[in-house]
Amino acid sequence: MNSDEIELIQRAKAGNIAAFEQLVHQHDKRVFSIAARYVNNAEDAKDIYQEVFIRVYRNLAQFKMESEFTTWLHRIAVNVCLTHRSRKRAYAHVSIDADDDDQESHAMELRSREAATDQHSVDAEIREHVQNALDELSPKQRLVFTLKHYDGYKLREIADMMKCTEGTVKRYLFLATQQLRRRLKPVYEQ
Amino acid sequence: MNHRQYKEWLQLSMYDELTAEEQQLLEHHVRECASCRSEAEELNLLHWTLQKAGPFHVSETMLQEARSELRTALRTVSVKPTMWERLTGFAKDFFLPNFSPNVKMVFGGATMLLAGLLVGRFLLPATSPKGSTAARDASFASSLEGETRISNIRFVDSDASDGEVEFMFEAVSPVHIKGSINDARVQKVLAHALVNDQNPGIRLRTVNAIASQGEKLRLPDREIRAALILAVKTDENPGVRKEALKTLRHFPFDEEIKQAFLFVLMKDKNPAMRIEAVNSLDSAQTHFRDKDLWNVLQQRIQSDENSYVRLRAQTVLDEMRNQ
Repeated sequence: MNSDEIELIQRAKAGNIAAFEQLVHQHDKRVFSIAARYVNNAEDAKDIYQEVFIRVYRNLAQFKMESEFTTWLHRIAVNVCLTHRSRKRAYAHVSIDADDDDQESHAMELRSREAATDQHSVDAEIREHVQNALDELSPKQRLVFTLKHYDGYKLREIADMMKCTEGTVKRYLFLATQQLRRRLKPVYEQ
Repeated sequence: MNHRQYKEWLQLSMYDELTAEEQQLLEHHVRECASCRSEAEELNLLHWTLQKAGPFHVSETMLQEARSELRTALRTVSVKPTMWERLTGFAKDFFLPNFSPNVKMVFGGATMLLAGLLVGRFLLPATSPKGSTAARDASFASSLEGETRISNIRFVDSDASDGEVEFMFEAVSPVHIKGSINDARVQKVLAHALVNDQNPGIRLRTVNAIASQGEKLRLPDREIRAALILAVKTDENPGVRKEALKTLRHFPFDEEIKQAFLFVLMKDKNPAMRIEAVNSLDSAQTHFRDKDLWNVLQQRIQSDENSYVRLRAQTVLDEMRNQ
């Protein structure tokens, strides 16, 4: 930690809310990114983000400056992710397969045109398959996988965040990869 | 070395987690082993698929919304330790000053369970709230000069018998700014006012200020755009929401703005807002195959309580069909 950060933490510890906000703004993009990629939706990511920083706010006095602030913060973020229960409150879209026949045939026509001509539609379909496959992983497997694959953390960093050994992290990663392979094989063999 | 080990290395190799020596060994093995080559190809396909799906895109607007919600939540959060934290802390420090933290934790908990049964809360010493050391900050004195207004003084310790008192307060100083709408500092203040000011009149004037200068915004500021989207979705005042929505029409139409308009059309309780939203989506001429818009319009046609919203939604949907 550099001296500026230490001073900022000390001011935040002393109850200076502006200093706390500054501290949050220095680190929150990473936290939000970890959360968003883990839950794959903005609303749950915001819940996790808020819970993480409220815990930081409540427990900052106990942070002894013996480790990096980011290490301590990311440990909290990982714990909150693992215990988070999704609100799944994204607004429900009505299915394009509507009740009346006319609408259905129109929707099907749209779908077939999209499938034929629109690459975005193919990508969206792949995205959906990938997301479903990720949702089926256990929380720890999913977290390790997203931290490694999408956020690019090193295995030892993930082990540090999760307070476990590098071997355990590797095991979660291998299991996650195996399961994703099984689940996505029909997609990439198409 | 067996295949299982090499197969694990193949995965680690994808993430650049092997040493140079391990990488070399692996490459040598893969050249000679058909099974591992096939494994590598399959892993490449998996990574290609994952790459194609991409990670969840985190936008500046989402982050600003999260920050704003956190700011609101922090107003109600107390940092005072709970009764249990005070009890266990007291026990740990008193009985086991030199033991490891784990031993202290276990012993502290057990001791205080017993102590709690015996004496309860009646023997607890009074404690003072945290966050009071700001008064010791030397730089704080200078902040009280000039036109600073002091309010909301809360005494932590008003007993001066030991020569010291302790309190907290809020200090507000007036700042006068005159500058270009394109000045980053001006935009920052406007975005802050739009999201955080308690007075709806100020928020409305802020939106109007942005709208009136809209064409002079050379590069629409991301923070202002994020603040407008947040206001459209969450401001409690319908006037502010409506003006923010109208102002957003001046910005280049993109996925985030579309989602904000759809959010209003789906969620806003005010029918005038929903009408503005459907008109904005119509005038933005979104792609006729836009599934999100199609779904929301159908939902509105079926369930919106306002007949004009239903009618407008039907008209736009018909236009989409005829395109």
